[in-house]
Amino acid sequence: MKWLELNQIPLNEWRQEELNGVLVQVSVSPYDVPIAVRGYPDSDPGWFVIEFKYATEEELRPAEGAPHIVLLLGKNSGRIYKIRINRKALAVEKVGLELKVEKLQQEVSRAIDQALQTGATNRLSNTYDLTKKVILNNRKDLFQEFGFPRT
Amino acid sequence: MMGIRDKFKRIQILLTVFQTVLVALGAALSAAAKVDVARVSNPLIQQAVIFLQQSSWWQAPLCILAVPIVQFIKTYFGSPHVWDCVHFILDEFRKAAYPQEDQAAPAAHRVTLFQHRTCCWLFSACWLYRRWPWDGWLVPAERSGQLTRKSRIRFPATDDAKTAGVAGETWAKNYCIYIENLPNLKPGSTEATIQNFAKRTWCKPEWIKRQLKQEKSFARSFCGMPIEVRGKEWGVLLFDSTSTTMVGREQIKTLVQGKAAVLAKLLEKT
Repeated sequence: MKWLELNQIPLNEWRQEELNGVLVQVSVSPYDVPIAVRGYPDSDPGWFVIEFKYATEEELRPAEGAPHIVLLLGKNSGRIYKIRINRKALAVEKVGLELKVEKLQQEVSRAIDQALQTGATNRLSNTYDLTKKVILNNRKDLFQEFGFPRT
Repeated sequence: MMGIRDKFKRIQILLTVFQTVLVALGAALSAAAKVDVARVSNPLIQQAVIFLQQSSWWQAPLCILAVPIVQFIKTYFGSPHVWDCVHFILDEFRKAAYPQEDQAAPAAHRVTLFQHRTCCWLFSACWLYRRWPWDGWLVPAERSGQLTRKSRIRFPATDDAKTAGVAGETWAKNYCIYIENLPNLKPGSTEATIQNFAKRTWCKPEWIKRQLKQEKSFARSFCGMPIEVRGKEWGVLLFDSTSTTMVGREQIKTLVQGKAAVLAKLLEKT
């Protein structure tokens, strides 16, 4: 359950964007960039959790979406703080470990996209992209303790 | 707001003393109400008890009303110690944002913390932006350094995302916004230069002209960052400098993130 520290600068680079007819450099708010991430089996058996740490904390609420992947979002900000994955319901085929991790990461990304559709804003879209990027870059470490069925 | 709070800092101790006196007076009044004057042997205390009993009809309501009013004033301006800490953090941000610049020129490179407030009773700002005082505004709450603290600048930050200025745009988009190489505005600048500056900073040209008449200097680079408390937008941090670029703009995001939790705890108390 060790936190994986994230190097923020490559995650949060300045990019050019046109805002109200003016070309400026923009970047995601420092509050929306996760500082650390970890993956661990939940105390509730059968569930696995991916947790993100941000600069500040807030109350959480579950997002509407797939029942086997539950996103817990910040009540005010809408940031993804936790992703709870139902290990049993999520069918992982009997394939190699790398493919299992990849499939799982894709399922999580799909759940994030689904959550975005319900509360789509430009800011949240960028923030969720960042979350997906973090999972993609750290997928091997994150799903280490997932407990895949033996092939 | 900052200027008023600086003045308030000086009378804050006086207000606390006044509040303590009022509470003591209230206690004395309730104690005196039950005392039998005939039984008091000390003439001085007897006189005091008689005075308290006779004047309780106006002193008691005064205490009941004045104590919460004084408390409201103190709460409105916030604890001076909290604001001192916020000021210290802003100075740290300034050093990180402009490391190669002259640190002895605080007015040239500034960090201003704008707070989002529902009401703004500065009618000149309401008139300029054609907005109601209760539409939602960004008001300067604290600024790095010791200069230019008597600021009357206000930006509309309304619910319908109709905003102005880099601070307003940062608020509406909830992004970090960076603008560099702005034209050098000075008295006598051409209309085209003023229009260009106004367009690139989402400001009103009339306001720029008014500032130029007052011989105020203009920043040539801006960086706005949203500030949150418990996941809610609290305000905006605005870096402005007479330099054309902000050298530490990459480091500042990391620094703001590092100090965010402390800043949020402090701002919760304001």
